[in-house]
Amino acid sequence: MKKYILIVLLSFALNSAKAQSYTEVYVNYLPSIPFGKTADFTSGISPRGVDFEANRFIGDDLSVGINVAWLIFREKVGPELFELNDLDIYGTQFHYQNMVPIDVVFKKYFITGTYTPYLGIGAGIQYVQQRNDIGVFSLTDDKWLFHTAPELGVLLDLNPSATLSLKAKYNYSPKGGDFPSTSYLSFGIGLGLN
Amino acid sequence: MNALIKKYVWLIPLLAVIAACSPEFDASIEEQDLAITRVDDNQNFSGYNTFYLEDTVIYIVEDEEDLEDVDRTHDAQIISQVRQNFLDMGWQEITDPDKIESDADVSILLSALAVDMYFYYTYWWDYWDWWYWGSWYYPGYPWYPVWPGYGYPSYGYSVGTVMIDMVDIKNMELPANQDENPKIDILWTGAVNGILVGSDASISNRLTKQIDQVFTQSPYLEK
Repeated sequence: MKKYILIVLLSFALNSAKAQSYTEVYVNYLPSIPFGKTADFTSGISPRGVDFEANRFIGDDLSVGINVAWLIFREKVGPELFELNDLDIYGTQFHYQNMVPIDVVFKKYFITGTYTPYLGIGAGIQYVQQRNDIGVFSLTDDKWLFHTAPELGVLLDLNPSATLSLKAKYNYSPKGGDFPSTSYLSFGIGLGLN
Repeated sequence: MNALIKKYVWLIPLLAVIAACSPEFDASIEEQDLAITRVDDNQNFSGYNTFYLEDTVIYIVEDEEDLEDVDRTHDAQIISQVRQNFLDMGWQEITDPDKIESDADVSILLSALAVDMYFYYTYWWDYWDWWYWGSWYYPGYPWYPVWPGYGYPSYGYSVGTVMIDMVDIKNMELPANQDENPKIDILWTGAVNGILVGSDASISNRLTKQIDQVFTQSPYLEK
């Protein structure tokens, strides 16, 4: 179901962009702050994140594009005593979360000159893998979840073909079955080419 | 300002790629040591005060011939460490093997398992499933799990586990037929698990720490 929604969004994006030829491609460094259930499993700011984005303009101040990101949250917990089913275990846990959101992104630009602020909204799916390494053992669970990501940012033209990108993007996925929801705020700094 | 940004802007994608690398923690050997206990929530130890400690560590091996290769360097330490912890918690030791059935409330069995890790991480519950039998039969004891044969690629080291089982002698059910083994309940199990790397002194220190931890996290055993 989630994959079908992404396909529909992609089709719409591609159809919208068909008549245009102006494309921008970005690579962003994406440190992130986890919230909610995401922070419960791995708290603290993660410096490990990157995204790739391609946008096509469907008007002077509107674009549609694809964004694929990869973020890793991790936390060392303990050593401490914790329960796992009916076992009491004392040891160190190594928690990892891999997030791979794949979104269709719509952006509205407010062209002012050299600096171009924008608002965007992304919608799609997110692959989430949670892993807990305990001793020489590993507990892993993963899930595809719906994903949405409103963002705001600013673009700075460096030269006619290169752009500096700064953005803040809130990522949210509702829970899927027993798998918890995800929530984190990403700050992006990147380079765009057109 | 713009000139400065333009000069160093190429660092951004490089930074992104570098930051995304090395996501794994470098866990030390000690950080992979575990102390594990299992007890029934409703278990009451108030009626159990005396213990008999088996003076041998049983090694769980796949083939009987493998027993010849077993390294018993730490056996004496394991036995004395477990004994001292029970004594420190106020238990009384029965040392005469002829008086086990008459005087001992529980018998403490020690066993060890060393496994070459052909697979780095295996799946937790496949390994520990055998703990969930509830009751088992004495002395048909060394019936242990087969190491699950799947997981991640080899890292080529050995993982050791020492198990401390408290079996209920007080309420042992003797079978009508003498050829059958008596049915005995496991009241409490403690285990220490870790990678067998380092000097004997280092392994000895880790064993001491983890065996003590097994008792520290079992305050209900205190007399």
